[in-house]
Amino acid sequence: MKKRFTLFVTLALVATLALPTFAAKGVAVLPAATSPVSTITLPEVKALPTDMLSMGIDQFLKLTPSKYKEITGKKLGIKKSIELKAAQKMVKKHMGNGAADISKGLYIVLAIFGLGWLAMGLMDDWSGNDWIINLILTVLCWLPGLIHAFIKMNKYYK
Amino acid sequence: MNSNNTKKEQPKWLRLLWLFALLATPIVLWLLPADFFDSGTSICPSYFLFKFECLGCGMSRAVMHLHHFNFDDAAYFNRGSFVIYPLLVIVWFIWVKKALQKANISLIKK
Repeated sequence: MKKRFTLFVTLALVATLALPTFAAKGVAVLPAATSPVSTITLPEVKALPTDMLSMGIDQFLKLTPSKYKEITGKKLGIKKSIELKAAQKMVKKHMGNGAADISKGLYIVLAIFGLGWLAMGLMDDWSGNDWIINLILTVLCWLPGLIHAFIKMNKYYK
Repeated sequence: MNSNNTKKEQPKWLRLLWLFALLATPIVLWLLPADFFDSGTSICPSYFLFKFECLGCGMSRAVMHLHHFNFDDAAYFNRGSFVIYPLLVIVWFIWVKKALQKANISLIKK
């Protein structure tokens, strides 16, 4: 038991010390929240109507079919409404990816060793409560923390 | 063994109140604006804790919009509402029928 614990602590320390070497070589430049949606080059976004592309990203993320009707006077239709939702999800994902500064592999290794909270905290600059939640869940017998870390992986990586 | 399996009958006023609540529900929902549930924080634990939308997320909003015949908004909030809403209507009819029987009210005069 002692041996296992020592091994775990050693591995955790090695992983923590190795973090800076895995720092991102280049962080993607993200568009500002007020810049138009057309600045995002995603296929889901390109398929949207032109009047949506001229909107600011913040306004676009809060857009619903009824709000679109209020603004333009045009009905969006069921198909376009579903496309709008999908595009909003992709834009949200795209906007959240800028925080990644730890490689995906290392994130998984850290999550398995019960240090997912550390990876999250470093990537979020210790802001927000994701890392706190993960720490609490990890304390609750490791597995909930691991699941949380894997669910949260979508926020940091494509 | 002398077990008493007979169900205690509810008082008539309670049965009538249940029937009234059932009949009033769709009317109240129609009287409320379609975007009544659109604002506010999500109470889904999946979204609240993990910011991860589950299959049921947005169902209340979608059903409310479908109830007001806003098909675009319903599809936007949750596509599953097109399956869930008809099922809800069926369940509502079954419950109303049972409530009418329990209240001893017949729609067809004998």
